[in-house]
Amino acid sequence: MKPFVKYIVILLAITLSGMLVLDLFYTVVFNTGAYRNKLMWVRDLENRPQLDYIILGSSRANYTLKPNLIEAQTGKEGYNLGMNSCNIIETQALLEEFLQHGDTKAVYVQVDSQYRQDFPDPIGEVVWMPYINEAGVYEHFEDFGSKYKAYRYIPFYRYQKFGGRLGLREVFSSLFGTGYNYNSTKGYMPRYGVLEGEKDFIPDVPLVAENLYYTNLVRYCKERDIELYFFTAPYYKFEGDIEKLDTFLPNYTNFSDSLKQPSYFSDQIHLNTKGAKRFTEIFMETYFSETP
Amino acid sequence: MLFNSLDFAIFLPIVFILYWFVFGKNLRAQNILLVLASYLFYGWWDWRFLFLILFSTVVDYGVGLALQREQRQARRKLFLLVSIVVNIGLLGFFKYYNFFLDSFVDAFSLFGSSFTVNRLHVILPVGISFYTFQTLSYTIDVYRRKMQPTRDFVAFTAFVSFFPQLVAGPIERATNLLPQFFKKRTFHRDQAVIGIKQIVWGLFKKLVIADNCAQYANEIFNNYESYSSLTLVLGVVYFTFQVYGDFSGYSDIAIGTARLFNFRLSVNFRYPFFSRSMAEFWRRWHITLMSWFRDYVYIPLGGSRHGKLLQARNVLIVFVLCGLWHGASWNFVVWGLLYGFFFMPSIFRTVNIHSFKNVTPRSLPSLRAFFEMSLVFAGIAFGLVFFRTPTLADAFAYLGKIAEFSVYQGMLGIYRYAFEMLPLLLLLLWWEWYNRNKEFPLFSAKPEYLRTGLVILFIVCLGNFEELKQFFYFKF
Repeated sequence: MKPFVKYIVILLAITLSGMLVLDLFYTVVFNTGAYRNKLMWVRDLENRPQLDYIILGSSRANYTLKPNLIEAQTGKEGYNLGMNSCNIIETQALLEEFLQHGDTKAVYVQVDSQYRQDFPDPIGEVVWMPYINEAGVYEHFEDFGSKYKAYRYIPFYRYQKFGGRLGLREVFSSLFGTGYNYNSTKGYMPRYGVLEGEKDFIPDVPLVAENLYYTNLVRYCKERDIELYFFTAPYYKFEGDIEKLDTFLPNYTNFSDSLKQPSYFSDQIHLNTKGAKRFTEIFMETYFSETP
Repeated sequence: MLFNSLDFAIFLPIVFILYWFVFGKNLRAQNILLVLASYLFYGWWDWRFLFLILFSTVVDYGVGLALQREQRQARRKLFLLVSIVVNIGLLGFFKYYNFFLDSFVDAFSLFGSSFTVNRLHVILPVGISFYTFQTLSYTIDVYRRKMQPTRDFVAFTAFVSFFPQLVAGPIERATNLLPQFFKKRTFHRDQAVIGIKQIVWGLFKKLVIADNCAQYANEIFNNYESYSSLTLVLGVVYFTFQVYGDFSGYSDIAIGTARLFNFRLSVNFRYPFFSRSMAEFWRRWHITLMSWFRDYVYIPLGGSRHGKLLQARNVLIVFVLCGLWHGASWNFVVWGLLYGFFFMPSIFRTVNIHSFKNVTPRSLPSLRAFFEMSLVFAGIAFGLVFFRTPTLADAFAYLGKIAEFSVYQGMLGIYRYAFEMLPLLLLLLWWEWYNRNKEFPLFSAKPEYLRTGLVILFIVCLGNFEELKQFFYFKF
């Protein structure tokens, strides 16, 4: 039996060594490779940019506001740091990450019915996983279950578990330079296509309770003397009590009804490039109208 | 409990340690442990189905003893009939009740009568088709006096429920597996090492090949209206490898696990994609099921003894039953019929390659052999469209879309290139081709750790761990 046990031990050692080496390799690539997401870009910001504002939120921020247009018309410099499926947990983490590499006077957070979610988004959290062994990142997730402990302490496990978005394919793409050029758009991601056909209203579940993670975000910004604004980006037909966010959040503006034409939308909840241009103009009129 | 789960990774070492270190010197205790472990393994899905398998075990154990005592042929037939009715009855109820009911109603509606019937919400017990066939082989072989029935209820229960092959085969014959429960078992390091290698190879096929192919195949089959002809062809290729990787991977893990306990299970797959005719393919693919049908259906029907026409009829019957064994829907019937028709050239041209040995001793196949293998693969993949799609209408629509010969679109809706799995599949084929004389590619590979370690790294790096995926054949 001893030789068999020795055989098993050697195989386990090969497996563990392989996991350690692969973990190291993947983590190095996600720290140094071409940008596959905005988090990689933010972590790599140079010369500590001093910005007038940053925009945070989900895809409904990502595809919605054009910082280059704002800069051209108002002189205000800022970044759109909206990321797909980014929830309040990831939003808070991203703000803290940004403040390690730059400064901003104001933060605009896109918020809608996702307000009720008080846990990490299963898609939005993925971009954080390469860095979860950093204490500052881990603290955002550690309250949400032991799986995050496993991601942190079992080498390579997080890359296996999220293989579709952090696997070999993504590593090669990053390693061989097929990333996104966020610098040119200041973070705005264009979305193409036009909404086709008549659509029904998107129903919504009533908002009933305050989300303490948003309250924490308000306090966090206040402590750092950062102006914080919340807004809801346009929908193409939406019914619900989104207005109720006004009672939960300070400096809240509801733009959900601000655009009506289907030609501004690529689907019911996302603006296309034409819609993004128009909404950026509305956004500027609301927040930056006093600045020449 | 799934072979690719953490539960099994904990369960297996515990059973292994108890089996060899605690009960290693007591055969009966080892068998009792295997029964308990197998029932725990099976009950992990749904403990209620344990009563079903226990019922089947008790009936066939009793029928076996009754067949031994009884000398009158008519009474012996009656006992056999009891076993068949109970086993096929259970299978029929759980698997086919709603199908036959729906078909009955549909048939009446063709003649203008319409009525409603109450469908039952029946949950299919995992692996019922497999263990039903296994226990049936016991009573039939005892009836045919091919073997003596056992009086050892524990050993018989262990034979019916042996956990490595309980839920998805290989479908063991009592003549092969049952006697192994009576032999003193000693630990052999080499056997156990081969077992580990076979488990590793099975996991590679499941996690790297099958589960990754499934991601692409599911996307393409579920949205086939949106994709071009070539993408749909790729979808069929991916599904073919998914089924192969999943099912043969399961068989490898089962056989490897059994080796750890010093049991030898039957080979279930022998590099089927290197077959040069349909006849050869079915001697390389799901071997234990096809040999079951051969011995208990095809030969009793007359086999090839009464001319080619009757032989063709017998082959068609076997394939239709094989289709129905896989699932209760008309898709499976058509799937079986198709393969039956594909088999016909082998009968009428008397092209029937019997050898399981070298496909060819050459390092590369001849052009003719390559063409034949490609043709067989194409036929199998074509038939699998009926296996994968939910209805016959979907299958024909899928094939119709392929026939449009539309322009290739590279990207899938999951933001992946449609072709990007192909290099991995070619790697698998290359690996299998150069090891086609071995039971499986890692069998007695030297140096001992290098290839196995390499395959483990492939699994770690390329395996699909995003969600725990059931083995495809569990639903049968």
